[in-house]
Amino acid sequence: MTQRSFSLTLPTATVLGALGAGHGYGFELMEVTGLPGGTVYPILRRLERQGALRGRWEDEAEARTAGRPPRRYYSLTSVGEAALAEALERYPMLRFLPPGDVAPA
Amino acid sequence: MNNQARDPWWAAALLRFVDVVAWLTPARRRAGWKAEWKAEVIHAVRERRAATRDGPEAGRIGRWTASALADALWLRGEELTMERWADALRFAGRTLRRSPAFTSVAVLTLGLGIGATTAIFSLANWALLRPVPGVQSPGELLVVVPRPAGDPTGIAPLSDPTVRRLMAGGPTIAAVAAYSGIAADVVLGEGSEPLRVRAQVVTPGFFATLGVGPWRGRVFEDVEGEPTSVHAVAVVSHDFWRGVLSSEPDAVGQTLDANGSSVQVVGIAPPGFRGPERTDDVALWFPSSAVPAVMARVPANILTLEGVPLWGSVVARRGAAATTEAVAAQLTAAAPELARRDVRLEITEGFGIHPTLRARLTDTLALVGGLVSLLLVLTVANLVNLVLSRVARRRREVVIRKALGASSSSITAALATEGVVLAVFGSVAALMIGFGLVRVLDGATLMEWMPVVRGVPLDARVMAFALGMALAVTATASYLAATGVQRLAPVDALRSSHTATTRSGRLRRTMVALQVALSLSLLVGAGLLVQSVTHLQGEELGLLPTDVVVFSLNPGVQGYSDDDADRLFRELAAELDAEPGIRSVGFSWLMPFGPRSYSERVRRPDTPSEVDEVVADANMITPAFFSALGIRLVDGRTYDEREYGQPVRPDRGAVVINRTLAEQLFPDGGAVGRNIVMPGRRESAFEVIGVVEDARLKDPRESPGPMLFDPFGNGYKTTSASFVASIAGNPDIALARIREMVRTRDSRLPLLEAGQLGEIIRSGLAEDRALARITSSFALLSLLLAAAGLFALVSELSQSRVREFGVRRALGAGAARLASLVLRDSLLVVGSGALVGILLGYVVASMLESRLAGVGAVDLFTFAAATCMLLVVAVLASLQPALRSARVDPVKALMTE
Repeated sequence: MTQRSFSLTLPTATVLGALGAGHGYGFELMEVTGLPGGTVYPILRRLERQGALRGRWEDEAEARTAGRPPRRYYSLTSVGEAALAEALERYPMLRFLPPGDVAPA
Repeated sequence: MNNQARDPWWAAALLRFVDVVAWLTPARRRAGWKAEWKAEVIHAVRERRAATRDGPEAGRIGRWTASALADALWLRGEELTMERWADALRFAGRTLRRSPAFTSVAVLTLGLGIGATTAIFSLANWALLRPVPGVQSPGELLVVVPRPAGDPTGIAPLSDPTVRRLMAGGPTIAAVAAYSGIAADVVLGEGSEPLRVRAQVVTPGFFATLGVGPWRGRVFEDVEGEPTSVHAVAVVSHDFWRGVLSSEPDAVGQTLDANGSSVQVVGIAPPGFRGPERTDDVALWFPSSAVPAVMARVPANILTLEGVPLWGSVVARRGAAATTEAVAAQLTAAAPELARRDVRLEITEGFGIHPTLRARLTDTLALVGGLVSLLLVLTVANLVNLVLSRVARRRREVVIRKALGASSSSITAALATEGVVLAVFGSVAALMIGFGLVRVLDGATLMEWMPVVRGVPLDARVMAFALGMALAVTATASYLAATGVQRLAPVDALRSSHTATTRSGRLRRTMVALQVALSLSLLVGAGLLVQSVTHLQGEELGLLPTDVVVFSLNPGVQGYSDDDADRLFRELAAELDAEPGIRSVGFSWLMPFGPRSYSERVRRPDTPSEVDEVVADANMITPAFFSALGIRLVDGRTYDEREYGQPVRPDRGAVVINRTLAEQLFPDGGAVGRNIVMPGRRESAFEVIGVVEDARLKDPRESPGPMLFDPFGNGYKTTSASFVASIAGNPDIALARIREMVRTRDSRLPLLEAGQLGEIIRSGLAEDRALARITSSFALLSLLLAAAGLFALVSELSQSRVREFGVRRALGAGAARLASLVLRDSLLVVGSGALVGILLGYVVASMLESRLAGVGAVDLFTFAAATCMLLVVAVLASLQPALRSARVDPVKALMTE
């Protein structure tokens, strides 16, 4: 990627880093990054719109058997992976985010 | 299901919160947004329960959920592009212009409510909380008050050796300084009038401790605090230099005559610095070695004497990172002699106001703060009421626009924008009114202990808080009203007009009733305070203050001995007595209504037990004191030459007492000729030679207690006296003549506390008057707000019944009947508000009870008058809508639907 259509601010890079480390949903991202929801969610929506990540709803049947509503998971696309690489280059500390469970397929 | 049943109670609250916040998001994205957030909340809650160790805790889940609000607002903001905002603003401006009455009432409400609130808070902030001008890092400064054991309000001034020990300090203390207030009589040139100013003697490190540097010249040097030699030098305040020294460029280095000593000016303090306390207005500072020069009647070696009181106030600057407790411990350890003398050092933060004054002001401030908050509540209630009524009136418009294809989000946005535009205009009005109020108060003396109000800045934080609140309230009210309107089925909205029965109609009635209740209770409070102050200034003091001028002389400052002073007083009184225009002249030791008082224990000789003692206020007087003040003799006689001015007889004195003391000691009457005993005195007994009528001579707020009057100069020598002169004619001319006569005797003697007695009494009541004035203006303001709210409500109610009125009219109802229908509606609301208001008024009255004089808390007249006033205003506010209804044209009315 030589061109990217989003600015790589520290919050955006952190969210990318957290996604790359395997954290896949809102509250977990808030917990890992320490950023408030008013920052994390707008970033997620923007990245999604720009094709850097994909959001998926959890399988409804599965959620129902567990007795809870389906959750929305986010994972990086190839565009997102490239952005992540750039983010890690620019903010090397992002490598040290604690790893999370990779979101269920 | 099971899972849900076991979720904690707050989980439901969080979900509900998400539901509510979701309304902020654009409609087409709302469902997805809500589902995502809710799922996160539920997951987090369940994980917390399932996890044994590291599940997220309740507080964190709460915080995460709260951030949904920011997210929703972000989404909403993204939805509203700049273009749509501009549209919405233009539309809002247009609709507001179309209803000027609503717009101006709403803007005025906001302006008055928030402007007044901000002005009052700014004023209080300026007077009590603003940083002391010129002082560096006031947070490091600690107030040290030496308290005598067992007396939490008393002050035991410290000796200079003790203060030196405190100054030696230790690691927790960066610096210690002490100061004492004195009066200084300054004479600038030969033959000019002496000018009395406030001054302070200070330890040499005073300015350095406060972090105040010289503006010109220098501040004091350490050697100027040494007891070895007198350094008659002074630093003058910038105000003094500008005012009294006329901005003399060479002022530093000049000498001036202060308290009879020649003092050299060595420096000028920076502009704004008037002393270490906010209420200070100090003109001159002298170093401690100047004490023997500028303070009369102190031993020349006072700085070396242990245990001789000199310093009343001490301030300490703590070292880096030292706690108050550590400083307290160190100071207490530095001066072990204090513990032996039962003096405790009270060390508090909050530099800038004396702890005693702070304690005294807390009540008044709480009261004013309460009033201000009440006004803010009223403003908000009124605004909600106005906005609700306006949106309800536009229900049809909303429904029609919707039917024409407007999306609900755009309608909501339009209405909310209108609220925001209103709030912005209101804020501008509030700023103008706030600045105006502060400007009006500039130069006023609000309370006797406060310096003149000068250049009060409007407090930005208070203003921001009040405006933010107004903005939030207006926008929320508009928003809620708008969504409420949209939930109506179009058919209902187009058909019925009975807003009065809807939920928002009931809410509005309640709001107006609440306003009525609050303003009635304020009116009652204001009425009581005004009556009390009027009473205090009136003639029920037992004396005639109108034609009496008073002044004091304290020649002790100029070094007069007791006998010289006594001679001066008597000769001056005789001379004044001979003056045409002066009816009678008396003098006393303590000034009537002055700051000092003295009391004496008194009992009958036949009741030896201390239980029967009466504590009476005592003063020394000359016989003409009573006649000058118009205090009537009830029985016996006053002093004559036999007692007045004669040396004390060793065994028996003569005394005049007031009616209350006579009744307390001799309930069976016949006090004259009986003996009384004063255990504190040398004489074994005193004969009561006369009884005078009770008169308030101390505090006009207090009814007179027992008093006794000794002949001046008998038994107790003094170099200060207060003269009272009853005059015929212009008091200013009389005072000028008196001033001239005093100057002829000794040009260095200033006339102190000179003025008309009535004015002195009034100025002592400045605090009460300020409170009465503030409460009255708040009451009137709230009445105005309530009237505006009532007007809006009644107009709208009558508007919504226009069809009904048309029908009634067509069926033959007269105009008066229709008008009375509207009035009845309005009086129903006012009446229920008034009932609550009377109860609230009772609560307010009992809170004020301790401040009232001459009027009880349950004063029927005040309650009745306030209620009448309210009713009159209510009728006036409803009159226009009522008359409009009465003029309804049945044909037009029936066609409007």
